[in-house]
Amino acid sequence: MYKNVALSLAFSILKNQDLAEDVLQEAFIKVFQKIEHFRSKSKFSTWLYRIVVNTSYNELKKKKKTMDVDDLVHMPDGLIAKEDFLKEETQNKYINIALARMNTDEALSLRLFYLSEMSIKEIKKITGFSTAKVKVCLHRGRSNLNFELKLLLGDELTDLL
Amino acid sequence: MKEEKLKELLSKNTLKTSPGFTDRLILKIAAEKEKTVPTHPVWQFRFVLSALLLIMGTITFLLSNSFEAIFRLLRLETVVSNAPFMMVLFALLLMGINYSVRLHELSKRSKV
Repeated sequence: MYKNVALSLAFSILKNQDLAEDVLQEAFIKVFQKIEHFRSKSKFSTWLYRIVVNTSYNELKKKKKTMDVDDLVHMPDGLIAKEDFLKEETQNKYINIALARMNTDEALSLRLFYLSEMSIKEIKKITGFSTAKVKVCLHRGRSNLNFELKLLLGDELTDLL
Repeated sequence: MKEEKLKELLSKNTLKTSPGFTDRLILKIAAEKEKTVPTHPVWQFRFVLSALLLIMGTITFLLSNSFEAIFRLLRLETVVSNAPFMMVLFALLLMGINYSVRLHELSKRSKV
């Protein structure tokens, strides 16, 4: 139920699916070990995503020196046909690439806000950012996502979205 | 891009885990479960036991030496009776015994 959203969040930070899956497994094990500490004051999803986000940032710190986003997120070769682009699968693929090319905090904030439908207060709890930072990340994230999509697809296809 | 369109696009945009993900996770959790076998809190028991012995030793010492604390403050001599000390020590002794009996019962239950 939560695993795909949690994977998307981990991917926003780590920009690599295999690494994100490993971190997600580690996070689920932490959840299993610490389930007794869960207080039903907050939602389970908020608690789970907080663990996923913290584990991902810790992993990112460890790997930062060896990781390069351009190595992990490949720009697609060639032009995309309009018919292909209308498929949801293809659109998702390009949105994922665009999000992966963006700043980590912005991509994470966008995913939490739109995908997980979290409020700014909940995003604050999960990420540990201040309210102002969340708002800035969302604002910049929206325009940067648009910019990255235009860079990947061109103006014509971006307008089709 | 409009806010509504962005919301629509991102709300559908999830990554899917690879096929073996759940199986691998179950195996890892099973391995973790084996590691975390519930153990009897022996260290707690030892701590309580040593605290009990210490308290009993102090009580014996106080009883045998008829301990009285004497404070000298501005030429005034104040003698403090050992009764409050003894009361506190007895209370601690009872609490310690109660705790160790509970631990003992718990360990019996976990063995069953």
